[in-house]
Amino acid sequence: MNILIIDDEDLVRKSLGRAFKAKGHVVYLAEGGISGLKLWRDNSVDIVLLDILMPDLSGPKVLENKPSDCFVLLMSAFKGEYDSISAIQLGANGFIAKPFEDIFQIVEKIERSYYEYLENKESRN
Amino acid sequence: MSPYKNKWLFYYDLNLKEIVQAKLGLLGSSLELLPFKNIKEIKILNKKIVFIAVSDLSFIQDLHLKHPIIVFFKTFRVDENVLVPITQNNLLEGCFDLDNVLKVLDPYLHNQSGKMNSISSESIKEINLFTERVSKVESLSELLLELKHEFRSIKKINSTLLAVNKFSDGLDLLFFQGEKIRTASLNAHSEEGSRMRMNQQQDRNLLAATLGRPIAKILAVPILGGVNPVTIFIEHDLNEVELSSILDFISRRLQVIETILDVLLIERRLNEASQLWEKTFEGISDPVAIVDKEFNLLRGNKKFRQFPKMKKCYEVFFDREEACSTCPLSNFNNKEDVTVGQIAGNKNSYEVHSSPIYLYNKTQVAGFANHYIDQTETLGLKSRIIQSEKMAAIGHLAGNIAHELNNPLTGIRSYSQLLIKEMKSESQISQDLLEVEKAAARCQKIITNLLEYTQVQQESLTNVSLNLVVEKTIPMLKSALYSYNLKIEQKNQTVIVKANEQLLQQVLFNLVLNSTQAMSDRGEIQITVAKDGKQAILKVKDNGPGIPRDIQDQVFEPFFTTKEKGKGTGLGLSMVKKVVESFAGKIKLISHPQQGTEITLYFPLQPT
Repeated sequence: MNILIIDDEDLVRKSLGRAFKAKGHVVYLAEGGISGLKLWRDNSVDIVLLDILMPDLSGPKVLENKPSDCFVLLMSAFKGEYDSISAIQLGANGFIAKPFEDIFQIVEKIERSYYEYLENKESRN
Repeated sequence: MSPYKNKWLFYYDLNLKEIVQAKLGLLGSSLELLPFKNIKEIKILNKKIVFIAVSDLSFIQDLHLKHPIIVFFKTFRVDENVLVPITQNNLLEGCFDLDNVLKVLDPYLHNQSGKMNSISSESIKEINLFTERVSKVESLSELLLELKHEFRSIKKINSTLLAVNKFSDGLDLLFFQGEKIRTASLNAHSEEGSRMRMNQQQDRNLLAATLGRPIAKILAVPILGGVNPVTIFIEHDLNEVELSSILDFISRRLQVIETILDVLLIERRLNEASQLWEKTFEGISDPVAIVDKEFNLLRGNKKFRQFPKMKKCYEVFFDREEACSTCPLSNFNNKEDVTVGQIAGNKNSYEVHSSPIYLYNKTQVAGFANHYIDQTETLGLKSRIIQSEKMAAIGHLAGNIAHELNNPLTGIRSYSQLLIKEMKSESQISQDLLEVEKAAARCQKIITNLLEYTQVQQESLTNVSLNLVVEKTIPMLKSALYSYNLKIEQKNQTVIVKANEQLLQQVLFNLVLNSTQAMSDRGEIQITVAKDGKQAILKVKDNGPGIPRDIQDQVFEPFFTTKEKGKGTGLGLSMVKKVVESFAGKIKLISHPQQGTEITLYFPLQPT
């Protein structure tokens, strides 16, 4: 799958990227909302992992301008302020709370959620 | 001889000129002798007493003098009936035979008491006795008793009363009710003036109001006490003739009455003032003490403490062996100002105001009145507010830092995990990386705890009584509980926890509601409040169907519910768990199928 990771935190972005690469996915990395949107526009993307608090353009704002429909997960370190329900209200498909306990578990969880999402999409069509 | 120099004036009618001059020759220098032709000629200029010699009563029948007069007759004997017309003058000192003029005048002219020594030695003896008795009285009541006693021989005197002006507005009227003396406080004022008053309406009204019965005649004798005016009221049934001899009787005794009244009234005034100050002193809700320059305690009010005499203030109040270093007494700079100091001691902190007391000498301070204002609570509150603001700031700061740290730590963990995956698990690097990952995990845990802690600080937790929570919540569940049997077990113990009362009520509400929803129509619910060592316990138990083993772990998860769609949100128990844990509590579930469910909440016990 093609994964786009938009997060201004280097460590999070890079480690997530490596983990997905290790599983054989194609990974695009963006440091901020604007560069993220550009990558999104210029490439075919299946999954977007989107940080909420970013200096140039926030996650929700990015979502408002999304170039294509795909599986989007919002990420944030601020517990309590966002959860699945509000993430969906913002136009995403789900929410991941940072920090991650185990990076591989997260990757698996994301993959599973994506497959579920695909199934739901198929059954609807 | 100018009339202004001499004290005494002696008027005479011209018929008596020779007699008067002859009789008074020796004393001429102390008297001014003035003849009069008719009453209009009698002029009184600043004289205390006027002497008049007349050969005919008709001369003075219509005299209305405002001054006391002594009348001498040529040869008439003093006859009660004759006195009748003369008593129109209220202040008749006496009527005497001209033959006795020298004897009568002598005491006046030699500056003795203006009161007449009666001719008879009997009277002198009586007056001396009276003087002795009266000088021993210690109260106004006793004085009134003495007056009553003294008047006992006079049959037609019905009653004697004393009117004393009060320190505040108004009058105290002492009177007899049977044998007892009563005091009535009236808003009235006593008449001003130095003259005796006979049967005046104002006096009658005053007495009628007080005694509540018809009044006979009233004689009012004003006495100018040193401090307050006093009036003696005599209720009587005397005719005018009799009355004048009474006036005589009274006049002779007035001096001593006046003297003793002076003393009594000053004492009374002192007492009133002293009472006011006593009450004030004792009534002050802060400790107040009077000390001398050497810190010896002279007086302390109730709040200060009882103490044996001549203890030092620092010993009694602060349990110290020497003067407090910040005592305002030490900083006293010999002025009239109040000096202030902060003294801490005995677990409390005081702001001490020291007022210097100058008793005898305007330059030498006799002592200090110390007013101790307890600052402990104020200071405590201040420091708690500062602390709480600090904590809030730190909490905020900590929150920020925690979030900042979360990201890099996640990175460290994630990278470690990645590297571990790529290494062979037995290699040294792999082992080392595991250590790194574990350390990073620990850091994250610390941060999580910190974040949770700062969040809890922001809620206001107070001491809440579990018993009270139960009492308050049960009425709200009435409709849900009506068909169930509710038992409450509290064992007469007050159990206090640190929590938010409203949230605890919601927790209990939720638990009980869950129980009722689990059971069908009938059932028993038991709520227990107890304490066990350092733990407070709140338990809700039902005898419903119980919760199956395999889902017992999940009941506290949010959105978990076995209820049908639309019945309940499934948020109840997860909320309960979250709230309980935010109060540093634990939740335990024991459930067996067919045996019911028991949910127990444990909290740290607060002291009662």
